[in-house]
Amino acid sequence: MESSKWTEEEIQKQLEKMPSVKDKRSKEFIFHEIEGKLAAWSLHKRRVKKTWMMPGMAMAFMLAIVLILMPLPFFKKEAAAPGMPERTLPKGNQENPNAVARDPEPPAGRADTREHQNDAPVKEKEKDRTIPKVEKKPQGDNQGSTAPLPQKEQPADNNAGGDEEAPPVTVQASSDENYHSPLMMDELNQQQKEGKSLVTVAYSDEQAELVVPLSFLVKGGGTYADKVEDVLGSFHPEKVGLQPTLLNQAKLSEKEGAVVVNLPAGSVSSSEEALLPKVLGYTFGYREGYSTVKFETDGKPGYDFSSQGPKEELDVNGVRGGAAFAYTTSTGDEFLVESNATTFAKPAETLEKAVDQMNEGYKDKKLEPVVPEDKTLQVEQSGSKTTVTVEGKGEAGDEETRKMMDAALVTAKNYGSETVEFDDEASTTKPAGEQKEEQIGAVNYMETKE
Amino acid sequence: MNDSFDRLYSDYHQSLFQFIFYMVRDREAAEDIVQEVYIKVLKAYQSFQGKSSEKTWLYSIARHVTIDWIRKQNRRKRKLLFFNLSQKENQIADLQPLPDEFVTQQESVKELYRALTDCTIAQQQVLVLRYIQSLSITETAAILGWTESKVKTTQHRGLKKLKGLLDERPGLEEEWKDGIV
Repeated sequence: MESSKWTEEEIQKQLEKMPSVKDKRSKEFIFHEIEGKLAAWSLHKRRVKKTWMMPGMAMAFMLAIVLILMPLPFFKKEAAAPGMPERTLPKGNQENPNAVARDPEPPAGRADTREHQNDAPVKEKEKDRTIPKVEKKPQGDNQGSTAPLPQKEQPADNNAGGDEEAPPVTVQASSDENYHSPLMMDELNQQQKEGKSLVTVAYSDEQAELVVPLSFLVKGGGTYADKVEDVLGSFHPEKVGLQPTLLNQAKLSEKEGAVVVNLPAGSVSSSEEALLPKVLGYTFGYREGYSTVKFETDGKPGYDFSSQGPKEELDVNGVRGGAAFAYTTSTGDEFLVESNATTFAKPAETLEKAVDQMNEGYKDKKLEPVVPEDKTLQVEQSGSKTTVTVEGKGEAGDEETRKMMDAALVTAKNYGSETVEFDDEASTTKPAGEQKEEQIGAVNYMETKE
Repeated sequence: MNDSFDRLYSDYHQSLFQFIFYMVRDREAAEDIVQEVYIKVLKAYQSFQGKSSEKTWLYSIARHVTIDWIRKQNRRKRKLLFFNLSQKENQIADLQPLPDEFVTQQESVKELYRALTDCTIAQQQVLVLRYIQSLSITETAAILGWTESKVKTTQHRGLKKLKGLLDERPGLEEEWKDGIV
């Protein structure tokens, strides 16, 4: 019996000898095809211009009439009230309060035609997004510490890519797959040693029924609130099928160990209000120092919510938790979402019950079970250690299995486990019973490339 | 003929086509994709500032367009599954016939070509660029927008994955005995 057939060197050599595959069409034929498409494109471009010229002119004309007819005292009143909503909006969005939420997306499927090394702020590839590097406040990176730095209130610049000095970094999926897998603890520790900080920001689904926390590794100093603002100001969640939240309209700062969320008056809709604790919990609850979020309205303490009434602060500890499910957005991007991040899923009392939920999912709400039909998960918790046994056929490296294991790690962590051991009987690539220890560093990791 | 196209064609066409073909394994799709790449390149050609090499810029665009195509295909497959098409049928549909260039090749080459499909897209990109296209680690990293260490890691994992896949295939024993592989 042969012990080994291929070596990696042989594979390498064989790959180098793979047959050359050539395009058999002539240059003229290809140019003719391209020319036709380019002509159609420029015709379409001209048509689009023509179509929008008249409504645009009509709109400008109407606006001019409205401005002429508007009484003068109105302007005087506005001028006498500094600090109105526009001051509380991100700098880059002052002209349009919804600019972040409604930021025009490039057409789906358009490839990045810029130089990839140019780090241009607008990456048009489906999985490529740009956020600026967080380098504007060199006050020391506090990401690694457990307690926030005691600081005076520091309104952060929520400039949507407007900080000219901050070169952008590109955010992409951790691989070229749709699934945004968690960042493992080893990798997180390594990245933190290299000066990067972890920032997690929650975004809403299109129905405002759940939030999806996305994790980014960013460079530079500043407070955690600054970093959250930078991500909010420059990452467009629509590109992964998610929606901005009330945080996109807020100014964030740190004050006496708490994060201050300064909102424009009347800016929170009822659906946003329902998601409010989840948005804040899944954005700031990861920071051990941020147990409380304080509200301000245009700089004054408290916010008057339409259904919950006036509130000055909210406890964000203990919001997160529950069983993890797979959630796929309209763009095909896949994330892990916990039951506590939804407005409909009931949190399970024990890890065993949570694993049962993981088998079922909430299919009517697009929360899919993470355990494939041909596999079963069994958990055994002993103190802070959980052993997860995977039974069933399949390859350990496939995406479904990986997703299931990630979800098991997240769920076990939510129920007090610090370490999870996999007894992966489903694996065909290593002997049954071989165990490995894994720890989750951050969920739904959006890889940044410089 | 457009001068830019003329030059790009003579300098890069066949290697770009080969890269796309090895990623999608479908000649017709590769033909469409390479045309789309030219369209994007020619539209953006004036904005190219020469900060990266033209070659890596072109490959980067080709890579994006190709991955978009693959993703669209995957979504289509999922939709098919949703409409109760059995997984087995779907898998059969996935098996593209071997291209002409491979028909006369040794079994080991055919197996390697098939095994490539079982690697992740990231691994495939690296393996194709590094070995089939003979690009350097630096060039590959520039095209993919990755760090060189990530390219090395993905390359290593890709080779390991291929080894695992090829070791499982029984059809190569004869070639081993003959010392062909």
